[in-house]
Amino acid sequence: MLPVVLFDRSAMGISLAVHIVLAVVGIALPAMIAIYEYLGIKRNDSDYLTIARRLTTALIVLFAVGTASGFVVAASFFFAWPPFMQLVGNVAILPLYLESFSFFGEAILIAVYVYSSGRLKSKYGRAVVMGMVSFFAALTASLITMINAFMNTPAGFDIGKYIAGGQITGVNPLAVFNTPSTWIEISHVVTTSFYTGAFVLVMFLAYKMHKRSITDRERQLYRKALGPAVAVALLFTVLSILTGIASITTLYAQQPEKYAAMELDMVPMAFAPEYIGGFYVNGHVVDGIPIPGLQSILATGSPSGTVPGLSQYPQSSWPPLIIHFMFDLMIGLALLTGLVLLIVLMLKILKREIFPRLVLIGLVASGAIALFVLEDGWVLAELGRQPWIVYNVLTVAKAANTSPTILPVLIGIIVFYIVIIPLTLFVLKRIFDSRPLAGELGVKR
Amino acid sequence: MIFLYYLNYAIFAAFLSLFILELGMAIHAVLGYGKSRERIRRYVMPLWGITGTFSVLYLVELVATYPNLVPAASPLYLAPVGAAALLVILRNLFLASSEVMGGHALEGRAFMIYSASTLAIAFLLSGILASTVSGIGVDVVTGSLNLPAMLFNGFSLSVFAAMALMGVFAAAVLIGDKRGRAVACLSAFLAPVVIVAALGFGISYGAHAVAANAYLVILYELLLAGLVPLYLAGMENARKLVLPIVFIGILVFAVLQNQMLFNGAASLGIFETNSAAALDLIIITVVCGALLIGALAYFVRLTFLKGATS
Repeated sequence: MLPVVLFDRSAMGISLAVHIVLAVVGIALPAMIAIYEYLGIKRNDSDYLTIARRLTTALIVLFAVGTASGFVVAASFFFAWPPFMQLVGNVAILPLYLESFSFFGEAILIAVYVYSSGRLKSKYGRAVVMGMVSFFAALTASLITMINAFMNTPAGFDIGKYIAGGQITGVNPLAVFNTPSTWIEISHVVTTSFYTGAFVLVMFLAYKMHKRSITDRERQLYRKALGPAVAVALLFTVLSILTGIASITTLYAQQPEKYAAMELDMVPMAFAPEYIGGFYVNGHVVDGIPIPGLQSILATGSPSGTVPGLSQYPQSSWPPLIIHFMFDLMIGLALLTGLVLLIVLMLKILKREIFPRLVLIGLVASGAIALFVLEDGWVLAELGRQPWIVYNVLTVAKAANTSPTILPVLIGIIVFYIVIIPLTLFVLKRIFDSRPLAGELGVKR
Repeated sequence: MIFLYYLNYAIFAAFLSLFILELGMAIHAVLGYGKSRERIRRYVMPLWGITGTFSVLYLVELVATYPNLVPAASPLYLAPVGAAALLVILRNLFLASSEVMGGHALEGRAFMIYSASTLAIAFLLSGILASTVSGIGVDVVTGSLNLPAMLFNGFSLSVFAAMALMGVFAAAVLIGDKRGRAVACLSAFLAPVVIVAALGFGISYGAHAVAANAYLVILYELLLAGLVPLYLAGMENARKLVLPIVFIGILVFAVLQNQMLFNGAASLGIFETNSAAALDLIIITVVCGALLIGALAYFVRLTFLKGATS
């Protein structure tokens, strides 16, 4: 029989895999709606307001599912990982508590935008409200990330006593706000959230624009909407790369096993090459393409800098080495999406048509790839901490609820999430089908 | 620290008040959605997101106040809370869908699924709530739960009925729909009867703790009954008072329980957080709570008091 901890992990994994997509869309989509609202007023162009209105429809449905999904994720943590939540509850609860209020702000502002924004005095009121929704969504994500940073670099309690006897003493509940990895993780999470969310929108708009069956008027609208979305995606691709490099540097100092597994460093060395690809076979890396000295430069700022190796640590504390492949995949695919955006930028500089069919196909593919990169990056980050749920403090196995009574609920969560994704997409499709854009624009097909 | 207990219960009461109101709206919808559709929608639509957010706030605040409760409580209420959580997703999805469908043929059906999900969540929630008071279905020694026994006993069922009746009355007062007046008045008079029945059932199951301060329940019933003439006279004050009175009613149970769980078998006090985090929790609650109340007041003023919704 499969161990219960596997179900704990699966249920948590699936619920978070879905929830992070809803979360990043919840951060980026309001920002984009705010931009369209602003452009609509500033340029006196109702097309931007039309696209803002349609995106708001999607935002409401996704927010509704996201709110409930957030509750399921919170409940899953509570039920599947009781010792972990006990530790968080005693030591690192303040960001989670603040997050509830931040989420409240988000919910109230969305309600204001949807139900009462017509009564706001300022003509830019709707754009400001949606901008604030995005701010609170990003704040919510940042506060949650603080818990993740606590898991990676625990602080704020007497770790020695906890490991020795499970006692939680010497608590400093404010330490969680400033662990060694907190702010760098937040910067990477926020920038990649905007990156992925913007790309999801780019994918949707490019797909719509690419369809042959739409009218010229509809194509014109999608084209207008696509420009700002591509600009935001480009900006956050660059920022994500910068914060990503900073994150790896932090790992080097704070979680050397994870760093070494990601880079497939078997022994500590100076002048370390950056391996692209490669596998670990019988104590050696094979089939990798080395770029001499690059890893040392990126990690330490100097080609002679020494990087850690897995041989320094007992094999039982090594993360799964597949994370090296996942790391390369994440970087490679993210750069690929950036390349498509660079092509658009080049076409713009050369004053050529910026959205030919081939580019539109590339943008649609980039959106799907960006989603994959998000999931890949998250799985990589979590797998990289294994076997720990709280690094060097509490293992996943010790934190899991292993009671067989949890199984039906975990299976229910897994099945429900598998159903809820197509159901949500189906509902969105039915809504948009029932309100065709051509009708809103007053044109006949 | 008793303050943390009341703070935790106040957040729970705020969530439950809004949820009871939603429950009432859902029942009105099931009874005659077509007739008072627009009035129900006008209140449910802005409400659902805030109710859901309060549920998350409560869950987190519970862990913050009683972190050591997690290992004990998590296996116990796993099944009903897990099921309720999944129903919340269903409820939100279909309510939001009905909101944006705007006149589409499926809108009514989506709203009905929302209503049915809300009723099911209320049933599970009332069972959990009742069992924390009475301990029916809970084996504190082994930390196990008999789900059918927890849900299908006189105490739990009458708590559910009381919630539903209060909800129907509160919703009718807020909606202000004259067509539901008879049902609303009947609910207002039946709610106290059912609450007394709940106390009786509780005592018959040996849960004497619920009757320790029963006079508070009677005072609360008088408050609720006092609203009926205001409602019938069509006075605006009834609309302003109904939600605070439901809120006070739930807080009454905080006093009745007085930190005790499962008919006195366990005390919440032993699970409380350490003092270092407690002070920070209080500061955050006061500061963020004030901001939250301000934002909510602004939203209510903008949406309901300044005129029709946009």
